[in-house]
Amino acid sequence: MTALLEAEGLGKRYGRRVALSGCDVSIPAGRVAGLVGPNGAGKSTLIQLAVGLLQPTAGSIAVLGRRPAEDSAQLARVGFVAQETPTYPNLSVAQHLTMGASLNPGWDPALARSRVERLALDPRQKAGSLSGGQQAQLALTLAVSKRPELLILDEPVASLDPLARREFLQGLMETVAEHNTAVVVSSHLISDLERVCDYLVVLAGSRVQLAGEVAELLGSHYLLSGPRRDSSRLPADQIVIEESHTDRQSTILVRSPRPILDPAWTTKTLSLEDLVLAYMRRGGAGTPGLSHRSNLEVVA
Amino acid sequence: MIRFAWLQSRTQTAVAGVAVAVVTLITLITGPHLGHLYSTTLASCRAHPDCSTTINPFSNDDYALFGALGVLVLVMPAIAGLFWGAPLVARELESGTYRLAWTQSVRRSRWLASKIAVLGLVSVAAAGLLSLAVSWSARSIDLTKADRFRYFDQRDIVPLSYAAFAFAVGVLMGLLIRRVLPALGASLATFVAGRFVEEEWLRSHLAAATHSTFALSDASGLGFTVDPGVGGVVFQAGAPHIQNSYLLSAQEVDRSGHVATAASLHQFLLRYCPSVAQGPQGGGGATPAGASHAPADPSAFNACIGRLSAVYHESVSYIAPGKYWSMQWAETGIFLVTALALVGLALWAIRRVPS
Repeated sequence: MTALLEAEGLGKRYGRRVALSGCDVSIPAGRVAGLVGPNGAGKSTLIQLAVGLLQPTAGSIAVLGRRPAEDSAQLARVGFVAQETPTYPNLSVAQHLTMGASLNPGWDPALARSRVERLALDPRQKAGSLSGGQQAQLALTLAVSKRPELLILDEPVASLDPLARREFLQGLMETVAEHNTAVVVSSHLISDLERVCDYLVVLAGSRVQLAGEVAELLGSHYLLSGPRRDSSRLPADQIVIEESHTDRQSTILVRSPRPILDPAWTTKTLSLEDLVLAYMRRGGAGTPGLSHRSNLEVVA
Repeated sequence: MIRFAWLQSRTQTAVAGVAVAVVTLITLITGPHLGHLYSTTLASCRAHPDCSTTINPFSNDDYALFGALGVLVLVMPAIAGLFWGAPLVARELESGTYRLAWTQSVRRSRWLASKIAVLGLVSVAAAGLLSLAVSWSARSIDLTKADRFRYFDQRDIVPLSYAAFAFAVGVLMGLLIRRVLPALGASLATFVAGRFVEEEWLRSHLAAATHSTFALSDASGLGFTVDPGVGGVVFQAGAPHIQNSYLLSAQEVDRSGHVATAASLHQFLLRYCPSVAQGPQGGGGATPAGASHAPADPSAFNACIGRLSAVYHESVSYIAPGKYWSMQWAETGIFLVTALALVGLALWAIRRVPS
């Protein structure tokens, strides 16, 4: 099956500022993939490249096997909810649906209507007077009612309060389950995504730091603590992600394909959040120039 | 797609509809009255050998309205075109809604083409209707003024092409500059520059000029003036008024066809009209430059004119009244083609925005 999103050496520069560089990632078909990383890590850039709003300055990207926004057929296969979920403030909810129907041949009017009813949106209300949560829901309604194969959402809940956040993600999951839609959704908060996603891409310092199945990622990372030991003396298949040492004790985060058998270590599995944070720290909190220093801090 | 473009253009269409309706109403009320005044004057005029001596039937209010409606036709299409064109893409870019619009199942170029088609046609139609109403109501005064080319850009079909041009400039600027207000400013400057170039340099080439020679007695405003360049009195003749024509140039020429220079005219006056050539109080330099004055003795003046007329003529080049409509079509064509080219450029450029 074709990958949802496949990038090779993908890069985007704005003048001298690098927003994304050397991005290699392949998200398998049929997943609900989370794209997580700190602000400024390049998430939004990657997503806008994926929907064809931006053109890459290096490398290539394919979405569902084709170049983003290559033609109207490709545009129809991908539904997009942009950051801050823009809507037309002067158009009513009903007019937004008219717009969706007018701009999308695959439009599902029944789905759109039922979603608006379920959300208790007044069709005559102008989008400009809707709450942030309602605007996000309207934007999601527009994106799902075109019946895309893949739904891409760029920080859809970033500006929402916790309740609206939860409702939005719930609505998203219901739609995904009902229509079997694949999803790529970004957030700077892993807590938004961990209940939703079965695949995770961690982006930091304008590069991909980690990508994989959530279950597989959780099952292959271990936090080792025990008497002080140099990490270079670990078995070859245990990759050190992060380490810290005191005079007597070492704490090392490793990725290992097999369970840890060494009895000297106390072994803990990590929460997804801890895991993601470790990789984000490795990426240098969004600024490539800081990556060395933050690594040193962790080691110290 | 068209349905959506229409949805987003309702406000502008309503504004245009109301504006055109109001102006049409004004012209419907005032037009027949002016027409009546004209036809009654024309009836009495025909009884006279010379129509120009007939008393002008129109009041100052009639002229004020005539002028105001003319200015409206001159300004409104441009304003509408600029104010609707510039935000067309720029507002989407400024507010971020382009991310919604350009990720629907329609390519950006088609999205833009539909929006341009709908709103562009609305602006052009509104400008056309406005001009139609005003041209109709102004025809009585236009006929008495017999100076058709003076109102060339306020009448008939050219205003609709100005609307199209303004709209296209606005769309392209909005797309390139990406912000509504700066785009508006740049569009206005470009529009005015385009109109200036057309009016100053291109329009006179849209039709073949007619060259004629007129006797000095046909000239408007014969007189003598002190020319600071030669430091003495010279002769001046205004261009003859050729009804409904577009004057390009008028020069005094001598019998052999050479253009009379200020120096040669001064020499002629010194030689054949010494009393005139002396000027007021005998000293040419005492009078401010350009001020015409009649010589002390009217008979000397008339005798001098007679001698000048025997030698000098006015060579005039102008565009004949019959060329009016072909020039209207030509200028309309120029601005419509320019507008289409700008739209083509915008459709091409939108593929690369923003990147």
